[in-house]
Amino acid sequence: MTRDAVQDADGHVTGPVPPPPGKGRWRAVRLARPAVSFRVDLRALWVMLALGLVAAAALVASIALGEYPIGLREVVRALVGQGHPGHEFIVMDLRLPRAVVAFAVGAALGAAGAVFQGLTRNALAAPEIIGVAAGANLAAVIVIVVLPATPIALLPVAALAGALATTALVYRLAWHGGSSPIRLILVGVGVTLVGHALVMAVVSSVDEIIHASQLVIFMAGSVYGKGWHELIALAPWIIVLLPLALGGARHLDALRLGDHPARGLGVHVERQRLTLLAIAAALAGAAVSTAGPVGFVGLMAPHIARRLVGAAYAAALPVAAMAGGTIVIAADTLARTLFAPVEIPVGVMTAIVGAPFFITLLFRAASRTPGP
Amino acid sequence: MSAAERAGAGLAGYGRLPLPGLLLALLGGLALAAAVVASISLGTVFIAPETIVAAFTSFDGSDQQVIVLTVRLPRAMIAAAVGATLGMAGAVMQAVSRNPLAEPGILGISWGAALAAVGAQVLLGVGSLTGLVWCALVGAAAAGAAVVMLGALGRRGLTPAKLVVAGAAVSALLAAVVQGLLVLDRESLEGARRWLAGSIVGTNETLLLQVLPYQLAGILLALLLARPLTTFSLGEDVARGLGQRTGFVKGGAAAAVVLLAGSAVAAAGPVILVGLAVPHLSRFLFGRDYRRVLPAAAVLGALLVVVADVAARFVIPPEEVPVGVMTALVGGPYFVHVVRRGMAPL
Amino acid sequence: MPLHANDLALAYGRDPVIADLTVHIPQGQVTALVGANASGKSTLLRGLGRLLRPAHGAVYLDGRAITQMSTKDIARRMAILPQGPDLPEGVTVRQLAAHGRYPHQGMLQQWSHRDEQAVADALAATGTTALADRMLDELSGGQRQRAWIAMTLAQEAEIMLLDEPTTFLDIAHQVDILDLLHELNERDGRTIVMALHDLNQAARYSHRILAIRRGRLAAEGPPHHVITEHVVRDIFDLDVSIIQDPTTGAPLCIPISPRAARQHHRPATSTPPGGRSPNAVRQDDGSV
Repeated sequence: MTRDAVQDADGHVTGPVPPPPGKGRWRAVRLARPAVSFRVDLRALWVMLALGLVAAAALVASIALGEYPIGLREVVRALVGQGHPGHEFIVMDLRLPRAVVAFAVGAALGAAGAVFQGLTRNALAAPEIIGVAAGANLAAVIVIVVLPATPIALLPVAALAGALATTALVYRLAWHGGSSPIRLILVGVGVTLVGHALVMAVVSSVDEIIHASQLVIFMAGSVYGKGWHELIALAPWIIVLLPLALGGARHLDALRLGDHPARGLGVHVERQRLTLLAIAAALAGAAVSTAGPVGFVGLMAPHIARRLVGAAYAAALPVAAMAGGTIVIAADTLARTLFAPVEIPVGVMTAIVGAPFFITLLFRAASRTPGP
Repeated sequence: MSAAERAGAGLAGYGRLPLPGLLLALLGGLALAAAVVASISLGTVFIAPETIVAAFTSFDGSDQQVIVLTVRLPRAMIAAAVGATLGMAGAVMQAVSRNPLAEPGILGISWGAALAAVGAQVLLGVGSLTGLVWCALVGAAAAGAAVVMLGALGRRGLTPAKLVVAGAAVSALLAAVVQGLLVLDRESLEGARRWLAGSIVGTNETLLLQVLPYQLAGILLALLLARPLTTFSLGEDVARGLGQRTGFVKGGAAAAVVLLAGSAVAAAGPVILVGLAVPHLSRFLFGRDYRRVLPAAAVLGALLVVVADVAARFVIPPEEVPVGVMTALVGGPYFVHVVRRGMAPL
Repeated sequence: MPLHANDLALAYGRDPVIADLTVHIPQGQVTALVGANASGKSTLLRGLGRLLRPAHGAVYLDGRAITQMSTKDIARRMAILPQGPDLPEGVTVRQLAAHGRYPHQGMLQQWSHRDEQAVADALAATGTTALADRMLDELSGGQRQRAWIAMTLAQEAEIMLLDEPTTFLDIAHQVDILDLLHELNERDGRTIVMALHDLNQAARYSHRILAIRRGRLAAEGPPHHVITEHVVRDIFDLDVSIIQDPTTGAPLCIPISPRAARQHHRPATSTPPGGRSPNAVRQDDGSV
């Protein structure tokens, strides 16, 4: 101990300046009865608050801006039910639900991405890479093309089923006397390759170009025309799954230490991994079924979260959800207004924003010493 | 047995077949010829082999003979050319990256080519075949350069698995942008959607002649690199220690991959996973000497795509499944198999 | 005897590694597992720490088969530190140590006073308090290993299993870690079981040595009994002469040079190079 301490006292510090002592960062919250104790990360709390403000600002902007701009005062009036009837229709029936759907979709994708990245210990794991998005795509595409009589309301159900089935397939195929993070993500890549090829096969085979274009729009990811109906369908999933994911963050953090250390700590490694995988797949599936695979949100949001509050998922997971929601609202607002009256799908917008982000990330990851 | 050799043998699973190379080459050639004949003769209209021969020896202008010369033969040739170039591209990539999962489709090169071609069509209005071929090459080059750079940067930091995931992420990104472009332009969607699935239906000799020069250049370059690649595949440090100028090898390999994969995508769209199993099988048959592995990968790749194209006509008749889907359906399970067995670095 | 194994057989897939082994781990002592590469000492340690399910036989903790116990219950009684654990990204020493509290926490009890105290104690005991807020990946190998040990200490388990805790460390850090473990045993009376590949370290730091040869117990007993010319020749196929360590009095083995060994018509050690643990494990742990 002395050797290391001396080295430290000499000021021989490698790497960046250590973060300020943790004492100030965490607060313990304890109740004697019922016996409850928590540790609150103050930094994460502040970050959440700040992100929440940004999200609120983006929400208001998203409502105010558009082909028919509405002044801020009018927006507020319409929101409280005191506005011009025309404004109220645009705000309450068109833009507000759409913005809320965008936020929910982004939050689900952000949280799912964080779980996938933690589980696979790979910073590039995201719904569109691990097979979930491909499965949802394939199911949706098959419903649109093969069973055109199916009511459109069933499309999300099919997409969700596809996402879950694909995840189950990935898990099963990655099982080889136990699952492993590396096999999970690589098998996911393989399943995505095949799934995508099948999707393209269906797209290429439809006779009606209208169909093809409907498919492509779904695949690009869009919240166009989403209203209260979609929100009501999506909300239960988010309300149930997001807290489950947050509750699982503790196990996710333990799993990140590696399978053997985690098992030594008393973690049910396989059981927790399967549970977390199922939660994340359902979250991503619900999001994709609502808006199509809005790309790169599940990749970007967890990264932003880790930069802001550190790698521990107990803090990073809620922040990732918040960041994801904020990204999608902002991207959708841009996608609606940038080339107005032409509206581009929000997924294209996030891909355009995500591209430079992603490339920087790749090169940073590649030039760094080995790590998860 | 060196570590590298062990890894190679482990990859093949059973060591090396003891059959003499000449016999194998002969068998491969015969199989390919048979597949090409089958490809010409089978389809909605059956064409007897003697009619095929007659189309060349005594052309009489009959419908069947016209079909042979203008539809079936170019299609078989395109399939063979695409398969040969993709097989070789995969072999070169695996040798350079020492990664058994390296393949143009997996590492995002195919989608780079596809994005550039679609982008040129939608945004710049490029319509000519030559223009599109060039765009595909440029796109493949960009994506390929990114991958090679990543591989070079990550000599320590980026494991084979991470490179594959990075490639998948690149592919996902490029595919997202392609889809976005197609949303904007319905006309291009109509033109591009079959091609994007990896299809060679309706190709003709004009297309073949357009891409052939690049394919031949790529094949030639790859074959010239065969010996240095064999050395390089032992590891860059070893190769450098043996006096190899590894920068040239890597640069040449990158150029070869761009020509091979880019021209293949220009011809048939992203036909994926051809370059995965084919080099594995070639190494299994011929060991680690890329002077043998590369030609073998060309023949086997051609064989795979020609057979896949024939099979594609009979899966859901009268519809035809795009050949890229067929190769994905064959290659996907193989990919999963390699992952499950645990991939030793090459 | 809080920990013992009865008729234990361990295997990776179909490859048997440990066959019908019965061992007792004495309470409050330091036990070292020694053996040649691929002899099964690490496998035995994993089996004892329920990282590996027995093919047959069982490991008993306080008289109960560990396969019948909840894994959290085991974790509260027994901590295991696997060999060369991964380096999790973005984790501080304090966070790592706090992970040791996992088996004591639940949905509602996530950070009790006891948790806080145990982590502080673990950091203090391993001398990592000053490093607590440094990231793991900016530390030296020795400091990192101390942080991992802090995690197992925070578990407040009476038994600690460590798989080659000194691998990848230079000699000074090796001594440092072993001194620390010795101290933990002396001061707190913890039961420590560690797989070691250095016989002299095993002789110096343990009360009891279990020598494993090809999955079987070749010798067991206090260092003076086990570290003999005869036993070492048996388990390592190596001729040594044993002298007394001038500082501690423990037996110290000096290898006789291979040339001398050849003159005795004895084959050189037959273990393959690089095969420190069975292939199946290496592959699973991330050759990719």
